[in-house]
Amino acid sequence: MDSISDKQFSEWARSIQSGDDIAFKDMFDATFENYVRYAWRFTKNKDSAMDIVQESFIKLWQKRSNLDPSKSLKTYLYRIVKNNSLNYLRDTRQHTTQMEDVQIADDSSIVFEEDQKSELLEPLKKWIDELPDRQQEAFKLSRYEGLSHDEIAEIMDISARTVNNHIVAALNNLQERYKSYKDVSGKHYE
Amino acid sequence: MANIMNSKNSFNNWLNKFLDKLDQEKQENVEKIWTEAKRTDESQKVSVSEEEKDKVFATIASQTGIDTDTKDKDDEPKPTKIRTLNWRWIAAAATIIIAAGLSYLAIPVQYSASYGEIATVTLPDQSTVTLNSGSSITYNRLFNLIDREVSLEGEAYFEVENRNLPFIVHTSNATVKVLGTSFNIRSWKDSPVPETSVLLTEGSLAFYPTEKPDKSVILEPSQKSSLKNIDGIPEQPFDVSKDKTLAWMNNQFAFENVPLIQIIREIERRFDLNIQVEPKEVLFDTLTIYYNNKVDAEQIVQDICQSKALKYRKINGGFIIENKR
Repeated sequence: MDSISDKQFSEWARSIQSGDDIAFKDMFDATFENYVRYAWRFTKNKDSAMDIVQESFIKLWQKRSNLDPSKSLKTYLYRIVKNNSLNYLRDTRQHTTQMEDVQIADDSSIVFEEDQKSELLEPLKKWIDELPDRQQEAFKLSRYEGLSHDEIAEIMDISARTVNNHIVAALNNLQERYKSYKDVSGKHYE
Repeated sequence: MANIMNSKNSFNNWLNKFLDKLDQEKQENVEKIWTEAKRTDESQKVSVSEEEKDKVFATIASQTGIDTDTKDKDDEPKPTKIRTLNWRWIAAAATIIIAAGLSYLAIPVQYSASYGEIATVTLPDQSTVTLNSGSSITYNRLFNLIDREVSLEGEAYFEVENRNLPFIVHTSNATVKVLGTSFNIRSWKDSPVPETSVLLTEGSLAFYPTEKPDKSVILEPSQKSSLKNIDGIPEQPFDVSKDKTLAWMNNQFAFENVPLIQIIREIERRFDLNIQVEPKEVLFDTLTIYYNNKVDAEQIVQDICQSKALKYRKINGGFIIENKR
């Protein structure tokens, strides 16, 4: 989604606000898959991720008159998708814990299959997942979504300064783990 | 550090500031983590097809009252479309080729299964098509609105949902027409003459030469018929065991009285191999071959050679079958 300019998003915001359904469809076409991936990180299930993003776009259209073109439409939709994803998790965890476990296992088994495996990838993924929640969220929005600190700040509802602190803390954290990992695996070869 | 600084300056100012405070070793570690972290994103494996996207938008449109008919018109002024494609996924799955552009409706939708692969496609009417390796189907974008017609090249198993519109499959020489039912069609381009054979598993269907709808035969479950040439007429339907015709769907391999050349082509498609047969005179000999379990290409080639008193040798990416000295 990095390839879509801020200018494009604010054009869409202005058009959508004035009820332009063609601009709405354009934005949908260009961004749907990205938002599905973002929702998938919460649900680990493609169908529910698509449902969540579908609901989010419906909400965006229904509330179009409230859009503020001076604010980022991109992060506005991120926030809706995030909220809907969290609601989904809250609603389903209570009823179908078992089902979800199965789905997570299914989905994760395909991961990295076709990637050239770097030995660092698996441990790094684990370390990232073990970061404190807020650090992790900021770090992932930065690395996975390619968002700026200002954008992350809007989605997380904190200041850009705090985003910076979270990401720096995450990097320090990961660096420490990488360092001790290298020391340990280095010893194996001796 | 170069690769980090080169990308988006404003975005990475903070990172450079942070890196400057670190010693050499830490700098290198952080750079490595920063670069590699992007690759740990599992969600990149998730991809959405144009078809799924269209379906979701149709739901959105129906719930918000947006009129979808006005979309995608060429004369509407609109911002340039930006599509984000996950090339890695496309290369890996290689099952979907979708042309989308300004003349959106004029460009048909095509799905294919590449060599070595079997693919299942859900059509807009919820019917499913399982494509054998190297096969493809094509339909227009108004499928399910004005008609339910698809064109098939190769072999596929159809499970058709019952709808008011008839479901019609065209091959190079024949047409199959049904309402809701399940059947297998085989129609390879590389057979010596245009040929289509149909096996019905459920429901009922009409099978006729495309040019002569009045010459149709009606199949009952577990019956098979085939049609050769453009101007032929379908053979009288006869009862068969469907397991052998549908063997390909379970990765099994079965052919009954089929010319060797077609069996060879099928091995090439199913296992993504190249097989050269030097003694040309055996190519049109018919052969019956059936494996109950999953079988590898070499086993089949070996058995063919044994039955025809030939020998084979392995080459890079395939086999050469030749006469015994």
